[in-house]
Amino acid sequence: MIGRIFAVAANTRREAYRNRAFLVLILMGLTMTIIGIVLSKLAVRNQAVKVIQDFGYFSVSMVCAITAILLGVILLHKELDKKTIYTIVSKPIARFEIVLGKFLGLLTLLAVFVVGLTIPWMATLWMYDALYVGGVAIWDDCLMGTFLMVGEAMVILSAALLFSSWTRPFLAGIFTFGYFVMGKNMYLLREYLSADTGPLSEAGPLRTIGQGFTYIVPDLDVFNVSREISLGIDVHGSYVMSSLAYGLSFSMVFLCLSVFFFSRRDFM
Amino acid sequence: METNETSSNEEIRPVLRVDSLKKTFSIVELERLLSFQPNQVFRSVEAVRNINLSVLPGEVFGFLGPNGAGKTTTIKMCMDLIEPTEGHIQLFGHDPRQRLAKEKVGYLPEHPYFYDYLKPQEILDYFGRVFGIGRKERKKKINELLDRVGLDHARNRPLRKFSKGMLQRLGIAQAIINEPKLLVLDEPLSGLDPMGRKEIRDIIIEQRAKGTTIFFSSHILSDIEHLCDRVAIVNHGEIVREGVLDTLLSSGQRQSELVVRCEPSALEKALQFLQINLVHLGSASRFVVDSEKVTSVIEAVHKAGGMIESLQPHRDSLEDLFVRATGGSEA
Repeated sequence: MIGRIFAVAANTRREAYRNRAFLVLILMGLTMTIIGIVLSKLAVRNQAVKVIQDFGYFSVSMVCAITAILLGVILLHKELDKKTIYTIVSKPIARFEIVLGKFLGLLTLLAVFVVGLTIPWMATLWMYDALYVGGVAIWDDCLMGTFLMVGEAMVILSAALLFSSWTRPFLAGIFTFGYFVMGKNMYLLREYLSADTGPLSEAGPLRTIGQGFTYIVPDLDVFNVSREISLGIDVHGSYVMSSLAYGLSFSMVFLCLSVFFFSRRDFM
Repeated sequence: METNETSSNEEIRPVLRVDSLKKTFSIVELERLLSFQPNQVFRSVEAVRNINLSVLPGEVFGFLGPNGAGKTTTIKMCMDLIEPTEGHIQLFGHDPRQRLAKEKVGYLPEHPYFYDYLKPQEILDYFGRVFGIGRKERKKKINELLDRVGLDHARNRPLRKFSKGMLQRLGIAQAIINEPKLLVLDEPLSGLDPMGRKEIRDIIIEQRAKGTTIFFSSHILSDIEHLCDRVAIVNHGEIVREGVLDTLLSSGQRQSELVVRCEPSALEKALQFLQINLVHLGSASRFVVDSEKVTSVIEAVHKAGGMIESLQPHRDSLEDLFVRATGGSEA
């Protein structure tokens, strides 16, 4: 079973990194790093490192999220649209192995992607920090932030696979993007729910619906440590671990649902 | 349905057995709402109504029918791509979803398409891994297969640069990588040039010689006639004829073809009672008559002063059989 899952994962990775869309995304990430450098020139001298640090984190995290949505939707769609799925489903491989293989292949690719974009960002940061000011950059936080980006990509990717497993690619793309936007704003809903005043502060159907949403939409803000990086607050390893565990639990549920839908799907 | 099974067939365990297979698709057409036909938004289409068939070990079984008859849907159900609405399928005595069944099967879909950015050896390596073939054996097998299907020269070329014929050949290679006991080919010869068709036909013949059972659908009747031992003709989701090809072709109306040397106007007058089409070939004429009327035709020809040059039984072509069975639907 492991061999078959790894075979699908390796094939998915290989097909994805040769795809032109992936190359465009890498270029986009690198361009964002260059834009960060240009923007740092506009800042006062001792703020240049902070601009590169914050803008670099934002760029890598954003490009990573877009890549997760696009790859998750496009690659499964291509399998169905081009009908390459016929040859694999008819082989001695279970459908859950196909879904799991796709997920693992794309996740490892995204991890490499994040590392690939983080290296030039960190290198630029190191260069500015060492050459101009020194001691401003928060290396630990940036590194922890990188782990969290992979965690966020994992959740987005599993959501993209879930939507792709039962609907058309265009709709799957819209749903995944909508889910991503909702996830990014879940902290607002949580704040409303915990507030003493406001529309969701008192028991009622609206509060129940709001609470229900917290169970079905992951709070992607837990993967965002840009504030901590900007303000120089330490990001602890325990926080990263608990955030990754939170993301993993959502991913597992999404993957189970993807397998459920994919196993019942007719390939026309 | 007319069947021509030999009694010995019943004693052999079929490789593929399909019983009372049905598939109904539910279709949602939201655009009907815009044309004010809300009651037609949801409708169902019966793609396969009642298919029963058995494919026996070692035979080449042809599955033919007009467009939309339900051939590909039936094959997809056998290959675990579509869930049947009703009925049972058994591959080597197992459910087609089971690994035990799938391990023994090779499948070439209609218009095969593979990953654009991969190379043929990478695709074959992928499928070899899925079958659990070891690295060394895989490498050896891939080289053999690429050579066998004539793609050795293109082993490092991305598949997006492959022609239709090349993709078809790669499709055959991936279908036989596991040395299947049953090879299922959906329209393997469509869209190929004569050379490509010959190459694929040769591979089918070679696989058959190795003892592989072959089940294939095709529109090209001459290929079916050339390759198949048994055929099933499907129309409107049902099998309308099934049996040994030779038996089916000779079980039609028994007719004889005569070539006669006689003066044309005298011959036409003598054979007026038959209402047949005479084809004049110089001083000779050719025509086909029901076999029971041959004696009276010979007498009439002699009376008209003619001479019989040849008399031979007239055998139906598969096309005749197909047209009769499907009522003239487009193949």
